[in-house]
Amino acid sequence: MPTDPAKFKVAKEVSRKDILLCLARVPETKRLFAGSSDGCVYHFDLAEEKPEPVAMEGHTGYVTGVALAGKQVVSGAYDGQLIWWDAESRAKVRGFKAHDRWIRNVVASRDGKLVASVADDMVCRVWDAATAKLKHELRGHEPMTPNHFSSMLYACAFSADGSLLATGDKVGHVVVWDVATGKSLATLEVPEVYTWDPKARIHSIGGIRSLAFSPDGAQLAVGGMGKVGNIDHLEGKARVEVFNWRKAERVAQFSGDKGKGLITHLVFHPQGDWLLGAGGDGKGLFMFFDVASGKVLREEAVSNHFHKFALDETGTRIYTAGHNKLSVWEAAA
Amino acid sequence: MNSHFCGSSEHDVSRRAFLRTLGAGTGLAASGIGAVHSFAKPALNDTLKSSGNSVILLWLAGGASQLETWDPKPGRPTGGPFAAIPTSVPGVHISELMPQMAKRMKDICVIRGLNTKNGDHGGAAQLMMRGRADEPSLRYPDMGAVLARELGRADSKVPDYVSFYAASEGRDFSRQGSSFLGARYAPMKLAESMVPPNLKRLESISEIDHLSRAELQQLINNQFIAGHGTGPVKSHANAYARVHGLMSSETLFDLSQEPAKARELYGPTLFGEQALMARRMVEAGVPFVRVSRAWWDSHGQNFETHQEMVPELDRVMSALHDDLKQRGLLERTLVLAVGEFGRTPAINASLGRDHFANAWSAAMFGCGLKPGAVFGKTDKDGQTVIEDQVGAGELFATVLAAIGVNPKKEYHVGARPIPLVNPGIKPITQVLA
Amino acid sequence: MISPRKRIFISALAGFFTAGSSCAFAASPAPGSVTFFEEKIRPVLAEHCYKCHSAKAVKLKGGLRLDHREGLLKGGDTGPAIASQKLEDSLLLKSLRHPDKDLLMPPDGQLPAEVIANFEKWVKAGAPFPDATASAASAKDAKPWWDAVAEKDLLPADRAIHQVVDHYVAAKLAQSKAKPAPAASDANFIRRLTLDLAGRIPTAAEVRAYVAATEPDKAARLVERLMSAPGFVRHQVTEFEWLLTEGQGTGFRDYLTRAIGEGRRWDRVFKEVLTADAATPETKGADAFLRSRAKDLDKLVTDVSVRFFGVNISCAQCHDHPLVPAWKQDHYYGMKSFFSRTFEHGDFVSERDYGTISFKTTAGETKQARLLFLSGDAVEEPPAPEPTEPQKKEEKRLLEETKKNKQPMPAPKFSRRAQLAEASLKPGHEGFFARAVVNQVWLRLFGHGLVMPVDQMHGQNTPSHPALLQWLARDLAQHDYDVRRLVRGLVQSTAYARSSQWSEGARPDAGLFAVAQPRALTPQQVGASLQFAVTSPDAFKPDAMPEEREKFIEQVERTGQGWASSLERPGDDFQVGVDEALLFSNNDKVQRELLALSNDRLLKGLLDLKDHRELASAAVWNVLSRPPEPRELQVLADYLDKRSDRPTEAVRQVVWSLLTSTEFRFNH
Repeated sequence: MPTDPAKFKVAKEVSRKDILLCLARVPETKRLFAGSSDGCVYHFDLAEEKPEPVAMEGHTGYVTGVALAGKQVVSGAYDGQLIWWDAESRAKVRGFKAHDRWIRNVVASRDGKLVASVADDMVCRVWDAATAKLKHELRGHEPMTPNHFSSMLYACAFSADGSLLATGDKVGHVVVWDVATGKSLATLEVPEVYTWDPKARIHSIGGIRSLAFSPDGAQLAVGGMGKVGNIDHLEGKARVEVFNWRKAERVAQFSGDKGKGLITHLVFHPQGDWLLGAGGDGKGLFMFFDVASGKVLREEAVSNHFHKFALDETGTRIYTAGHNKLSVWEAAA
Repeated sequence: MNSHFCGSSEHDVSRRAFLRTLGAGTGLAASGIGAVHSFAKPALNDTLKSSGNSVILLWLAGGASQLETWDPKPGRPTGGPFAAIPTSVPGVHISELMPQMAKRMKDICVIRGLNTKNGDHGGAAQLMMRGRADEPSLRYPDMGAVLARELGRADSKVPDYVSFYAASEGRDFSRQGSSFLGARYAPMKLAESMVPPNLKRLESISEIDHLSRAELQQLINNQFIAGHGTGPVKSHANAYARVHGLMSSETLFDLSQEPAKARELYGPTLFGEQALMARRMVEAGVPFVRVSRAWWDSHGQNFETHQEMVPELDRVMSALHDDLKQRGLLERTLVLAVGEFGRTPAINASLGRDHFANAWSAAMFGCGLKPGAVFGKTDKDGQTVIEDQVGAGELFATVLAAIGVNPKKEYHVGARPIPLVNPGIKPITQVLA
Repeated sequence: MISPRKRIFISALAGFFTAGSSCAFAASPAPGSVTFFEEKIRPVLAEHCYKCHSAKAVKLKGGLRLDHREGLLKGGDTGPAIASQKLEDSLLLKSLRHPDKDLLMPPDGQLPAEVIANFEKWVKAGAPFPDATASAASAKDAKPWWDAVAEKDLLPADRAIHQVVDHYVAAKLAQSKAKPAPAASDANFIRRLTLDLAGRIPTAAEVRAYVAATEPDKAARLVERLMSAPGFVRHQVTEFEWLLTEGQGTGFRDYLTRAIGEGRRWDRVFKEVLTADAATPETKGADAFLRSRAKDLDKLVTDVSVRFFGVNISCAQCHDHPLVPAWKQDHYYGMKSFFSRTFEHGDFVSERDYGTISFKTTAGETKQARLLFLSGDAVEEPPAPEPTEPQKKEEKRLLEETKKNKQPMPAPKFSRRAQLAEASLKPGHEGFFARAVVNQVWLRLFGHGLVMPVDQMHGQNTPSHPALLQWLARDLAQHDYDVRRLVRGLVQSTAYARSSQWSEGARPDAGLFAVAQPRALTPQQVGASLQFAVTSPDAFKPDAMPEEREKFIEQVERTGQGWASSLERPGDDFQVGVDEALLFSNNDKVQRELLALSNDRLLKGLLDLKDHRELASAAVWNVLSRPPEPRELQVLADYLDKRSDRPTEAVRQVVWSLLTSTEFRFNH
């Protein structure tokens, strides 16, 4: 992926009636698994001229997380269930109630051996990908906000080498965990992404919606939306902060210039020198950040709101799951 | 604990006991200030039936989503991410965000067929508060003013109509007013503070002097009023005559008088505190209390907003229900939870829902209602009402009828009779006891 | 018993006829009038009698027709319904009263007592029955009341206003056999006049001087003095600002101050407000009226109709009025057409060259609206074709350009809005405008309009004094729409100067003007008056130069305006809320601002008076603007005597009781 893509355009679009909330890509292919608002996981092969989605039924409620772990796909939804599927046959392998409340994200370690799920029961659970055995229950987030309302645990991310796991919640609290032991290594506070309105509307909006470790694991990027006046809309500036988490030191902060809304997914470039974030308000947003200089390289506003995206190996192709659409974008010099 | 049914002697005794705790009567008997000359006595008919009853309106300002509360459509494209849960009424499901109310559903009435056609905050708030749209030359009194007049007592030492609206958003939309019923029935509005202003005697004047001063003013007034006895003139004297009674209700607004257990029941949020206040008021005989929980207008992030706010509503409404029941007040109190409209079944790109008045819900429990009744049905996606559609007028008439006020009663503006509800509007008998 | 549903229907029908009256002071028609018949008799006959006793009856019962006068006189099998020799014995009344079971009418239940009473009144007045047929269509042809007042029957135009007022008021009083109240005392009169002309109470010195004055024309001189003072303009501006914009719209007050200060003719003010040329310095701010309403044309039409013509035709948006011929949908949309090309454009209000509106009638047909004034006169206009594409493009360009440069759009060649001003002021057609101004000013000074409610000045709502209203309207139009002159004339009438006190039995109907109405002070009057009441008499420096005095007066007024925002503007059937009583009883502001002990304050001066009776007297003079009565002097002095251990507090409390008294709160 070039550092500053001069061109950025849509290559393919699949219109949908539902909302695609998450996706996972099978490496070296154009095949994707996407979680839908209709409770299904859909398989798409975008190599096809007209991709025919295959529905994998099993969840009730929005499917908010889907991850590829080895030869299996693991999905999580608002029904609190995690379901394992065979990536080739798409058959359901197992499914069980993994959380008391609504699952917000499911991620897999790069080596495919571990799966982590976060939910609004404020617990992150780490599972053996092959056996679905529970390895850790990570509790580091308060169930209630300081304003006495129930909180949400939105985001989690593994480091590239799988040794670290980060979790982030509604009020801007981040915990970095040691995967082997399940112990908390560090905590960070990112209060800017949580707007509590005590005066006009007496409720809140925002939260940490995305997390990403730099390739060397030393930095952690946190994404959400900056402070906003009118919490009825996502009209605050998109916001990303990057920390040297071991020192609990913030090394960069980025605020959207034109870009408004949440950053719901963050990915570091494999070389680690810049960062890609996507999300939006009612419209969609791509932002390219240069961590070293602390500058926003590029803001790309598009018409449809994104929830998650996946980069391919060349780094020039981005697959996005969003509101009523699945799209493929080409970024070239 | 016997049931304190309407008119029972136990009921009166417990009410008097509560009033004593307010410290009412200090110095007043001694001061010799006599009974207020009531300016407008409520009609003698129906007074016995309705007197002593109260209404608490939980006003869901901004428009709460019926799909995330009383009329969920899980699994449908319009349903959103939350599931529906069974309730204590077989066959009736509500949103999983309201587990406590689900348990109490046997006591609750739900109206699912509201179609009020007005999706504008101000206009819709006005419509719901007054039960009808104003005419260009006639503003109707709102529910609080009407009930203050019908249920209130002329010599009352507590306010007749109290309204809390703590948030700043939408406060001006609240559209409250007594219109032609006059300032006597205007709401006592509490916004920034939980305590009405000017209730406390200033330090700089003693209690005796405060009363004597008022007496002196009355003496001076008597001569003037005797020769100039028009409506507005008399209202001035009446307003001052109510001052000391209202001042003595100051403790009503002091939440620290409630034991910790009561406060825990309602929870630590402002909405909970104000609902507890409402119970105190109703217990003391205030006929109408509106507690506004603003602001539900989730154009973006509807599910996050409702995930945050609906459980609070669930807790507060359940607390009110249990608290009123335990104190024997449920038979004479009606609690209504409604906003100015509902929210669209369609979900927008910010994961929000917009204004929607074509098919939405209200819920209520208490005095005069048939517990567990569900009236009205919407289609599978919640887009239209397919059975038993009702409007603002019917809801208004139902509250009146349940609380013991005849909806067909008329006021008069000049020569023109004004019925409490427009002709042809009937209460929903299917939810009345 | 009438079924509740029927009762509601009768009531609704009756209510409909008063066309949505919101005021408690509805004009009560005389039993012999057409209005009385149409409102109170015909609807009852239609609902309860015509099923069996009219042309529409399937089977005519008892041979009796009640749908025209002949039928009543001829009667049926049992005899004439109306006994013209002895009206009280009329069979019609007997049957309604139900003394005889065989004669019960209506057969399904006796009518309510009030309705029977109306029939008795009507029969005793001679049972007038309009010649037209029994259907509502006859009412549609009913002429407006002003057509029934012949110009030649009016008093001559050269009479003085106050004489004319007294003439007509006295005539009606004589008819009604009500005795008018005596004239208000001098102290009472100067207080009332100062409040009405200067928006404040008079100082004690002003009252004393007036009471002591001996000139036979002292009242007229007082009027002149007050009307030449700057306070007069300030107060008129406040009142007209409230009437027209309720205080909204920046710049409007400044415009009104200029216009009223110069004595600009009111028709010119009307034109300026309607055509809103923001560019010229003379009319700067006049556009505030339009600007705050341009977004909602329906509101604009209704507001213009109500505030300038006294006519609320908003119900005609959806249907014709069954009884008021001038309130058809055609009229509503005709009026709206004057504004349909107006639109908001940045900081300005602009108007297009083209565009017509259409509407759907209750019959379902779509009609195109044409310019139609309330009088029913259509206005000719040149054809205005829809613009061509290039014209639209040019317009769009111009819109963007002017918006960017913060300029108004160029005025259209033919301005529909300006036509409204023309149509409404055309000689012979200026009645609506002139009558509305007269009624509004009358309402303000007398507390009860000649037409009530004031937004129902349509042809079927007869004023209490039709000839008087016509004369005053004609007089205004013929004298350059000089509102100042009108005010001067009205306040010099005997009717205006009557006492407001009435101690024998029920007060007479307000529309007789037999006794003055107590009127709640406006918030501005309260604020100013409170300040005047607590300012030491010495501070007014009677020997100072007039300019200095006037400046001081203005300053005192302004100081009091903080109170105005806590109070509600009185409307129809105003009631004081308990909030106000609590505010004055417990708010620190009273102590700090009104009961302070600084040198220029009343309290300081009072505390120097050792004699309690003298003290009490001074307090009453200053606050209530009159000499105290012996009884109250005694009560106040006793109060002070009993508290000699805390004299400051006692005086504070005495002054408080006067400041918060009902008497103070009202203009009486």
